[in-house]
Amino acid sequence: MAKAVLVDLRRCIGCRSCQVACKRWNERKTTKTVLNPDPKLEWTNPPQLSPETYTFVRFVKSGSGDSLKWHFAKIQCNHCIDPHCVNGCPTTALEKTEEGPVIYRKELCIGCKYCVNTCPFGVPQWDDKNKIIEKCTFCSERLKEGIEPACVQACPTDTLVLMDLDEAKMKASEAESKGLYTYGLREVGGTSWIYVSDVPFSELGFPEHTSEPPKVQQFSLLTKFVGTGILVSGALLAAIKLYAQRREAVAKAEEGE
Amino acid sequence: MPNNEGSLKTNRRDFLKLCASVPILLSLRDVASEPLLGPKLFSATIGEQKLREYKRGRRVPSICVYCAGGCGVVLTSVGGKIIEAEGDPLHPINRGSTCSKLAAYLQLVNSDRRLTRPLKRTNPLKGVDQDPGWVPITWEEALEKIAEKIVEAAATQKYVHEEAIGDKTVQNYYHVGKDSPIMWHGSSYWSNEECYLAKKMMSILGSLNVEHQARKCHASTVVALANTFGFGAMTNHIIDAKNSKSFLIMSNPAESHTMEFKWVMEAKDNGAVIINLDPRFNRTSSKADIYARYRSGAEAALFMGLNYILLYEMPQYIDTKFLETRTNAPYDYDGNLLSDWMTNPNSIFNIFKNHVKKYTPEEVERIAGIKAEKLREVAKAFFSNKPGNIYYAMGSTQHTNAVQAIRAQAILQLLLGNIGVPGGGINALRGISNVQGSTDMNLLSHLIMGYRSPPRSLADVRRYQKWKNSDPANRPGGVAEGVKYQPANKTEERFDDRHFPTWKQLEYNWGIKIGTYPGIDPDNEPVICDLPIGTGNPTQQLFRAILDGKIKVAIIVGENNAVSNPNAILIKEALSKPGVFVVVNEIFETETAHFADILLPGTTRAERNGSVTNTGRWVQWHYKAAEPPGECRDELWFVTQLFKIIRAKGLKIPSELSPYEVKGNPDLTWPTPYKGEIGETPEAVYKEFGHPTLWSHALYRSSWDGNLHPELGGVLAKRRNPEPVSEQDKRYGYFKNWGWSWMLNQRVLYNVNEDPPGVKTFFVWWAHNEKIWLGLDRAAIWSLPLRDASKPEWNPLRWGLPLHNEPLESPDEELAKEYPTMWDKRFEVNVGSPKDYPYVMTTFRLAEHMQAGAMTRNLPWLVEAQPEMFVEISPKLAEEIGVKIGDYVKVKTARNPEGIRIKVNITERISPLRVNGREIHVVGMPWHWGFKGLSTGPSANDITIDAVDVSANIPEYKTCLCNVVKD
Repeated sequence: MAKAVLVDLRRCIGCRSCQVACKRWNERKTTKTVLNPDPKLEWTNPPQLSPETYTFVRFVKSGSGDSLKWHFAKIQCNHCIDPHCVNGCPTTALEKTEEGPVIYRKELCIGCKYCVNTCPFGVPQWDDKNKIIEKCTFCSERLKEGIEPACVQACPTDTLVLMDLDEAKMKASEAESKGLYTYGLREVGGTSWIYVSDVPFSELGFPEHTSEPPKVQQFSLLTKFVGTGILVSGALLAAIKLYAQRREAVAKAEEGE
Repeated sequence: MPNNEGSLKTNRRDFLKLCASVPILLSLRDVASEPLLGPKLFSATIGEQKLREYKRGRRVPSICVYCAGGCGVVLTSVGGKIIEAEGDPLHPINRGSTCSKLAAYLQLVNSDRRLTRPLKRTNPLKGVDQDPGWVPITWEEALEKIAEKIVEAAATQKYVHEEAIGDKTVQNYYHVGKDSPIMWHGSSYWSNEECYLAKKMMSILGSLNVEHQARKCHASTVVALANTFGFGAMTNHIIDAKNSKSFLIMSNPAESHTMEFKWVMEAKDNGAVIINLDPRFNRTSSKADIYARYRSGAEAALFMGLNYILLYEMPQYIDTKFLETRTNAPYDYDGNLLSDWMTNPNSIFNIFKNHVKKYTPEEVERIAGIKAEKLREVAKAFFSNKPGNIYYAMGSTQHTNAVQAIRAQAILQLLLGNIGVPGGGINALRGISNVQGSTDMNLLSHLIMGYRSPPRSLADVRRYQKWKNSDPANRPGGVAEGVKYQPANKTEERFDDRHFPTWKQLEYNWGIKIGTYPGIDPDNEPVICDLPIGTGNPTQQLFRAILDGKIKVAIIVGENNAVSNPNAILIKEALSKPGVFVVVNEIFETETAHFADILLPGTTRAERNGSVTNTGRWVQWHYKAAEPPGECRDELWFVTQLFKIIRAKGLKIPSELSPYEVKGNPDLTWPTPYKGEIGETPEAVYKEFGHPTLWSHALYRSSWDGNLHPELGGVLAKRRNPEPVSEQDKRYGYFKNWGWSWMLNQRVLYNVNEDPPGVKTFFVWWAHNEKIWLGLDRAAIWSLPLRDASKPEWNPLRWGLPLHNEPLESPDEELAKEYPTMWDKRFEVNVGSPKDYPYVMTTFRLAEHMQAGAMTRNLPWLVEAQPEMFVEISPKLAEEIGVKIGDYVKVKTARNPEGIRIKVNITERISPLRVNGREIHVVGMPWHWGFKGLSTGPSANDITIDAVDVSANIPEYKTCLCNVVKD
């Protein structure tokens, strides 16, 4: 059964436990930050996704005086129903699983950065050091075991709730019918992370998208074939290189001891 | 208005159950890895590797170390290393979730910045810029050195005191607690057993110079609430928020007590109204239905105003039945019940009504800068949605009139009948994971144990001897029969009733002697007392005592005074003073540790067993999940060993020093008389204070019961059964089988409808002339112990009823004249005038950082989220002083006219207020930073004011005057 996370931003208090829990479970390091200089986004840190940050909470102020509001929006991979990154990936490094997550296998990645450059939400992050992409995994390994994603488990106010995709869609539609705003119900053909908010998403810095999934340049089948070919031939070279690197690393580690 | 429509959360519980199905709770799996993935086509992702480890790990439940919410943590260890620290899915309070701090706990436990060896200072010079020149030493060397210094210092304390009785002179043997050259400071991060032993040791050493964090956070709560209801604690508990229909939030739970807000949101789902009053718009304000600003320091005025609106403008919301049956409102001062109390001008109800007359919403607007109409809106929303819940924390407690501000809140709740009901209450949110427990263990200079005073004078000891004489069962030492006990008056009788059984317990459990010798004629015999007499120095005065050369050994454990005390420049000066030997026990090299002569590596809670008490008085057990790194040794062991070595070096207590044959023997009962049964364990110490006999710690009585739960060794704090015991338990979320709650497992204090057992009664009602304690179940709107007829009319102590008083540094001279400060100049404080320092300064906390910062500023994930110290000012003030976001400013106060240099954040969340017709700027800054750690920055407390509340000695951290200039 496909899973989804319903993100009810009306409940978010900006505590960032999701952000830190994600770093913990996925063993992410930190980036150097300073007090966010953008007056509208004050306190947002880290300020954007990066190979070390699969998710962060964007702090957004709106209004002023007595109508001042402070909104908090968790940003991560939305795990599209029909993911552009998967469709466009020249190999099968990116895959939409049955449970909902869009997962990534670095061994299959040829580093073309197609996904990085074309994701409608700007999610995949290129790790130039390791020549791989990094992004939210929806904790697919946890989902398989029936455990909530780390961020969902950590959320104290039930802003993040894991549920069946159909149920999430239904609840989001209900919310819409009550005049609330949603995001991910239709955008790019729908996503597995669906947001509900009492302010328009444009105010929260979410990109505007129609319900049309972005068009993949129609070479996918061919490129997938070709890409896989490149990959297989590259794999051998890579294996040799990896073996050499590994030997070097082991030698270094032993030396270190 | 509340938005309870379209709550989208439904089946969260189902998924939690899934989580819980992963084997948990003391499972000793650590089995070989099972194949996790199918064919190994690809290398495992980080998540997959983590899950594999996680599944083979051993899981142990613990309690979070940060705020006082008492959230459950599950620690997973593999091969003795903790690899995961997550919210405990079975725990009723957090149900698997965490705040950002707890989410980062793993990084604390495994931090390579931790201290792992005892260190000795080699640089005799101390100061912020001095390198301590640490060299590692062994624990044996460290403890020997500390014990030697203590024994040396103790030898200088006078123990023979001559007293003239009639025409002869007797020699009394005792210590004056305040004169001890040995001080102890900390810690609310320690478990109950460790705190208990620390207090036991220091008391036997004759010192009342013992303090800890509680003095600085809720000392005023204890005085205010104890003198209104009976107990000085949060009346309800964390989960109980779900039963509320309205919240008047004077604190910032979304940031400082995140998990409390889980339950506020639950109430909001059910239609509760959230009202938030705060000088600055914060993350709690973001979720409020009504938010209003006010001037910090005007809390008493705000609540006197709300009392005014209730009594004069909206009397339909007064709960007259509650007032008549459960408060002293229908009585006169002398304790006569007035049948016409609603109209009789002599009733306390009408005396109070008359007393608040001045506080019209318009007057409150003039004082506090909150619009009168806004105050009425707040009043209407809070009064009309019952039960209503008041949350407050440092914003109310840290003022020179804090006791009065809290009393005004408590009285409002009494008038509304919001006390003693689920969903109601006046809920003091306490800040540190065991600050309720460490307070209960009385690591405070004016208490000895169980909220009982040490003997205040020799007369108390003489009377105590007579009390012992009157019943042979009271004489553990088997003293001869003699003059019998006869209290002189009701006041004395009340004091003796409360204190003597506790002192007797201490004689028995601590192996000490309190009395006269031989005991036959107590009025004329020498006093021999192993308990220190009098009261010690409260925190700020303790550091002043160091500067005065009165303290020779300062032991500071799990507390960072160099960052957390007000006017911290003075603290650093004291810690640098030659001649005082500073011992610090910490997990990181903190700003305070920087001044240590010996620095001991402590352990995290993940590495030891014990009980902690959360803000809602739940006592819960935490289990050890792994051995600490390096040579870290646990805190119970440290105190246990230290005292043994001190004794081995020959330190004697007064009874041993006296020539008389009545001698104490503290070694027999050290660390606890129960060591014979279960060794020198936390469980043995827990049994000492939790035993269900009259002689034990009154609050924790029956928290140990060997008959009830033999499988838990009688430790009721170890209970982990989330199933409700009754319909009522289920409905209100008491969780009576989870842990234990004082008193007698009562979950909502003063709630007469809660299933037994428990203590449900108020017990503070005194009458004026007779000074008689009239009996149970009357809460005090008018409070005799908080009354002092010698005070002038503007002073609330004259009335036993609250009034507004300006902070010591008031921004308005006219208001300062009209509502003079309560500060009584008990020591010298540098005070600035509004001419030099025109802006009101206040301090605050962030969700991502903890108090003085050592446990969060050393964790990369949290530093990334809140990287640096900043000061928040309004766009208008920014324009006036010509700064942009990210510029640096100097913030100056009278304590530090040079000022501290801080990065500026300009935000509409702060806005000037109109006070007494003038626009006043407000400046706010977090106080977490200091000069050590991964993230360093200026300390806000280098400029805060160190005047204190006159009834509770809590410093006025939250309000002072400052100037801000571009740097």
